[in-house]
Amino acid sequence: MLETGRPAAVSPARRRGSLATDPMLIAAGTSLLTATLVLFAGPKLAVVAPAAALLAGWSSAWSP
Amino acid sequence: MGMTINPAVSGGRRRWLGHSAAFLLGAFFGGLLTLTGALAVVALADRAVPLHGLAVLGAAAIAWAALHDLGVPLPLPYRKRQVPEWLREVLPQSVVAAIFGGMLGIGFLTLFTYSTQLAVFLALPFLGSVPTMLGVVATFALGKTLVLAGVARARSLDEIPVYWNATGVGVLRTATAAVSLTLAWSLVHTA
Repeated sequence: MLETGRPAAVSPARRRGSLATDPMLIAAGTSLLTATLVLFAGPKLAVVAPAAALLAGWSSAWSP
Repeated sequence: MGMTINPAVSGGRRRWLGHSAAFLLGAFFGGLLTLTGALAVVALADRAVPLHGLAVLGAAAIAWAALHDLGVPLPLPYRKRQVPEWLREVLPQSVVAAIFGGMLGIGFLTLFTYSTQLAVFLALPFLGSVPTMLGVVATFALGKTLVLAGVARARSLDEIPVYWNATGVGVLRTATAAVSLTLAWSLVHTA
């Protein structure tokens, strides 16, 4: 593994990452978005599939 | 993927953006390969089973995977492989990024642990128009690449954020199951 830059001395807050890229918030937000889309547009595949695709791409990277 | 494609490994923010773009393109073309395969399977199966019947079968498979997300002990043949990390030692970073993107874009060459990925690929052939299918594949690739935004500020591997906790896993599994079941419902309703 290549490693460059400054090592260590990272604050716990920084190590936790920002809220904007938090997988939990993204997942919850995407499911809310999907529910809203279905509420207004009905259960149309062309409407639900893009939101599901975003979550599929995003969530698959976060394997515990 | 954040451990492989980040500013620290790339050697700067500008190069990292280039490697992220290579990953995005790879993921998109990988998704196109799976889309092509899915369309071929549906075209063949359509001779034996009506299209709506295939959609119902797809929805049933999605529901099965969603229940697995929710913790129901159902067997699911996830492929427990990762990308070949040794490539990082022998190929340029941009090529590695594109290859890894392609492998993850295909979707089923490596481990994935949530039902939405299966749901999206099962639903793709039923979308009705090629531009919509391409848009969904592009969104999928974008979702894969957005993960890299989480490491944008990392100047060393020690700064790669760690998000995981039990609550996070629970929320993610519940959200993916809910979205997958909604997609399954839409699939039966639309096709």
